Amino acid sequence: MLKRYLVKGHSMEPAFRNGDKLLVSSLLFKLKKDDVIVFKNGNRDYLKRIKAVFGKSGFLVTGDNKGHTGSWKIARKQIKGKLLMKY
Amino acid sequence: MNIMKIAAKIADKFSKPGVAYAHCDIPCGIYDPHAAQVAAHTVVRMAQLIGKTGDDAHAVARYAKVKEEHAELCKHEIRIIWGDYFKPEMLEKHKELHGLVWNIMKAASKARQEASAQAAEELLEQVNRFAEIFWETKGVKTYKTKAPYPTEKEIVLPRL
Repeated sequence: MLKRYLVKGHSMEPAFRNGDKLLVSSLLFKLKKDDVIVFKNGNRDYLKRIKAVFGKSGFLVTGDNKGHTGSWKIARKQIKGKLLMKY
Repeated sequence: MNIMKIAAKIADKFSKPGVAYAHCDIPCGIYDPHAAQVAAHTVVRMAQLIGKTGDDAHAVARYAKVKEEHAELCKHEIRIIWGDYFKPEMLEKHKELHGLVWNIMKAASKARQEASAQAAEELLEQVNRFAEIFWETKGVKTYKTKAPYPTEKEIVLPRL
């Protein structure tokens, strides 16, 4: 299953800029450090990069833009998909 | 071009893609329009001081610099609350919000461009209205009072 996303914000620059469009796969996928994912937090979907994997279901995610981002710990069930490509 | 990219671009013509937020900040839930209000009051005060200063170029330069900085700070604070805090259901109730934010952006730019007390006061008035809407979405009543600043202009405060 593929889903299209529009990036809003600057925390993933320079790889992903505000206004970039992404194709994200929600099919069964393996996740590893440095994968870019979309995950749900509250009512919103966020784009971040995995910085560390804890066991089977815990992930530390952060943005690429060091001056403009924080780190979040999220659960596997929050992850909606893994980045396939920009388009 | 990759066939998946072509398919995605075609799909965009029929439905909008979802939004993936790459925010600069963690959604900590701590939002308050007070910083924008203080910045707007500072813009008003600087415009007042410029009006009183006359030919002292050094003083005018200092006031203008602070006015510029605080007008930009005001815009930044409003944009953060508008973009990160407000949700679609709040916008349904407060249909004026988008227009109000747009007006604040314009008023702040005008207050930067001009040394006019009127432009600065227009900015403050709209930022105060923004604060009223913000607190209403939180179910907090507000009141208008004369701010304890030398501007002697109004400020909207929450009854917490």
